[in-house]
Amino acid sequence: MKSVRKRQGKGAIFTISSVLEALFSVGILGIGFWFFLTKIVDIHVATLTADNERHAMNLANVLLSYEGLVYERDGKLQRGVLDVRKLDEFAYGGRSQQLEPNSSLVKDAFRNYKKITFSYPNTISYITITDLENCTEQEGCKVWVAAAVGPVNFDENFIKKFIDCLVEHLELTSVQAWSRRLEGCGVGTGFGAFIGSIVPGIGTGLGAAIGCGIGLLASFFDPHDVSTCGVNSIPESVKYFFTSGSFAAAQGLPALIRLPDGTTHAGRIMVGVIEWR
Amino acid sequence: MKGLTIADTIGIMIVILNLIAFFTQIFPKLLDMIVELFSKTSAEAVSRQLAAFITVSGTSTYKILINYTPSKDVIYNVQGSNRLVKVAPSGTYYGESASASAPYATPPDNFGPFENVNNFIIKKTFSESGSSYEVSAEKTG
Repeated sequence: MKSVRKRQGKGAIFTISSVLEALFSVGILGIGFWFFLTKIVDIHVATLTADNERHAMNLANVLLSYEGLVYERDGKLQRGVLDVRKLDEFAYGGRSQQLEPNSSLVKDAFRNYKKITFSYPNTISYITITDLENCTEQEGCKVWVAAAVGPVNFDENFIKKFIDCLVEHLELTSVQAWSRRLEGCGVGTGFGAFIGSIVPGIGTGLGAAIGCGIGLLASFFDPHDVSTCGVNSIPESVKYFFTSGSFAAAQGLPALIRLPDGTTHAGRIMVGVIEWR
Repeated sequence: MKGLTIADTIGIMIVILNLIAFFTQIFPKLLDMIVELFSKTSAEAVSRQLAAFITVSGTSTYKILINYTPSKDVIYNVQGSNRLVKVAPSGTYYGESASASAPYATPPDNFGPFENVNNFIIKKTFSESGSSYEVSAEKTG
């Protein structure tokens, strides 16, 4: 009787143990997944955006509200209405058929650039405001041109980004990294000794030592890391150019230009941003 | 022997059911949560958003207050120096621990450092001397 009950309970015991095993496996799978995501994998989010274009449009928008440019009535700033008196103080005024980089107006503006309140770091911005209702066939339209420099920030440039990225990937403690380094030293020693034995005055010993040093330094970084860092450090405007085939062109934003006599003309404000970050 | 076979079959079935439940119910939600976390709360996304908010506050011709909370769960260390906002997650969130920076075009040139924060307040005010900008941060949630 006892053995029959024992036999009947055997299936139940195995079922419970199987269920527990299954749950344990799922738990291990879950913990492994969590450990992989939080401790092992290092994810870098990279987005490709037309930064130059975005910055140019943002800056144009900001300038359309800038108290140093816009018309003020009863203590209230009139967004998008540019005051000619303020424009004359802010920028170089003149007439131009076409604003070419080598025109005297543009050259003057760049020669006498100013540090305005608004500008991105590590950039030179050129600002042109055109009065579209004050044009002649011979001389072109009335334009105001200004150049502005932003603050210099040494923390943000592609060389520093590249070096920082390499340092981030530098593995000093892992056994794998040290074995790679020893391998590098070994290969370098072989080459160095061979070159040292051929070139008079160096000698096998010194050649091997130099070779080991070079091999050691070269093996500090994984070639894949070097290439990833290189790609990630390229300025976004350059990346955008290679992806889209051309730089996005800013057509400018519409603005009104208010003359001292109270009349308003239709105009456009165009901002170009040259970045070196 | 019969009991053993049935127990094994039931065990395997439970494992399969568990895996089906995991891959159809839990895994997609987890993946969705992680993707959402990366797209909305990664240092890269937050630095870009913050820099954009600071810049566009300059377009206002009247006082403005922008309140930005990327996440209630993720906290950051943030500093603005020479018009570059640097954001670093305060800890590691699903593999995302890298810091990021983004430039902005309006004052203040420097702000912070703010540590362990997740709510950013950008304020532009006007006085007789002109407009002024202020960036502050705190921890909420």
